[in-house]
Amino acid sequence: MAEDDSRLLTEARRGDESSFLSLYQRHRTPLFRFAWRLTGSTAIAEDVVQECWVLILQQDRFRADCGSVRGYLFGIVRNLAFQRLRISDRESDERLDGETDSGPFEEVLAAERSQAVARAVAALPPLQREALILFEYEELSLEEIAQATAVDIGAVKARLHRARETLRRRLAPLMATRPAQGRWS
Amino acid sequence: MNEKDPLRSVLHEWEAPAPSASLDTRVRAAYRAWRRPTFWERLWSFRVSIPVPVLAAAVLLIAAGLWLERRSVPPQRPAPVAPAAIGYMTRLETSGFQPLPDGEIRIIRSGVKK
Repeated sequence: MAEDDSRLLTEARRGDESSFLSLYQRHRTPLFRFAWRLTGSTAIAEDVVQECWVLILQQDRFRADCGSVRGYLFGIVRNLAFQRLRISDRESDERLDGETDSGPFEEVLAAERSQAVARAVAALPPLQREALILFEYEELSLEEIAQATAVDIGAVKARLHRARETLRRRLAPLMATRPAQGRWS
Repeated sequence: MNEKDPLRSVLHEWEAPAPSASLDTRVRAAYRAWRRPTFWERLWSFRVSIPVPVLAAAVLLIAAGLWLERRSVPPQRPAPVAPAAIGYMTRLETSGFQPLPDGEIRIIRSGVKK
């Protein structure tokens, strides 16, 4: 798949739109989810993803021997998202406040649990947060996370370990209780 | 970090929304704006803007040129051949020519002596 991504990127840069669309469709949702979890905003996450694709076409910096296209894409999204966060200094209010909704008890409970997880992840230091999101939610390998975050694998492991320890403490009450019935059945 | 880790289960209760369809449209438009058009696309969409007075003047000039050219061409006559200009003239006089009654025709190649 990595070789295929690399081939698609090369052909997209040559002007083949179908290759570009194949590559985009393959990575759009994971990239968007990552940007959304970092920024907490759907609008900003979509801007970041769009800008990411423009950048990867304009810059000819990707080298197949230095990692995967996937890791490279996540690295671009990560840098753009942090740029946006620095500019706007935005907290994840949109995500945390916008999801409380009236409804059946189980749905409200599930929404509250989801928000509690979101708050706990958002409260992590940024470098730990990005490593955890890439590993747990987007299932990148340690090598790909190292490529995306421009650090060595040892640093990625250390950040992941600290993030997981912090979350284990903060989310202990949730781990002790079962999620709402029907959601995980 | 295995699948039955309770932390992992709890973390996955935080679900992300899907990107909107407008993102696809925006990204596709961005790609098309970035992509260099091919030679034929550029040729097909090639445009030249000319001010109307300049275009009208050019059309008038061309029309006038064609009209003048057509008027100034004289009717063509066959050109007389000047005898002095010709160095040699071959004349064949066949009056009184008679073939031999029992003549034998031999074809001799040029340069061959017999």
